Amino acid sequence: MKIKSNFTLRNIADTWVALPLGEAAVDFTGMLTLNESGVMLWRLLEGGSTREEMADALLKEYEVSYNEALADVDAFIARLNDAGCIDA
Amino acid sequence: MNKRESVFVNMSSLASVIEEKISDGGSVELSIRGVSMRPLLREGKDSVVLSPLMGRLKKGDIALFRRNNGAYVLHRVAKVADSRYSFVGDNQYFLEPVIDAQIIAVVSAIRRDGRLFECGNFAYRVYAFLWQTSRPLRFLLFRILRKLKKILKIA
Repeated sequence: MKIKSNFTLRNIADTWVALPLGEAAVDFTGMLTLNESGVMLWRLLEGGSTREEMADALLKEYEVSYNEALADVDAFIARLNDAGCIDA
Repeated sequence: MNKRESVFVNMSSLASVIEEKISDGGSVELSIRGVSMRPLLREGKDSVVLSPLMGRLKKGDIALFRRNNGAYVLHRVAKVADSRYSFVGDNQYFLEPVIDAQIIAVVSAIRRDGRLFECGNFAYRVYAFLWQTSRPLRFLLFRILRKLKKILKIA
């Protein structure tokens, strides 16, 4: 499971957004934005990390339980999947 | 879980991404700021889809261009000449000269109250034609409206 190769992260006006590259249309009226932890998880997904590895990364940064971290990772992945950013 | 929040970004931050997208052959949807394209395009309600320009603009096209002062403007082509255009906002009457190099993209569709209208749409072309023809009348209309406003304030 990885980020689709035609998606990239860009910083626009201090906000990280997920941008489709090439000919795909970009809708600035409804964009996926990411906060710091979102960017970190995105980078891990780009590298092909598993959800467990992503949960571990969250644990290093935040005081949450492993199960909470896993739930957050799953929610994040689901959100990206809805936006069409993921190659299952 | 899906919360939508509005972020207002000025065009200079978006410009390089837009230009990159357009030169890649993609399109971009932007929401409207300002009043210069009323009644068709209303701030907070409508948005436009910008696509790469193939060849030259035609009279009646709406296009995004960059002014020499760096401002980004979305107005309509009122006149086409060999090496330049004259633009005007639907809510304005003064013509602005713009050269081809300033043009970034052309509006290929308009989203009004959530509905998407391609610019090839017949009803839209009728509106564009009628509104174009009304430009000389707009000067008169605005003068009359201004006078009316003055009168109404006194009354």
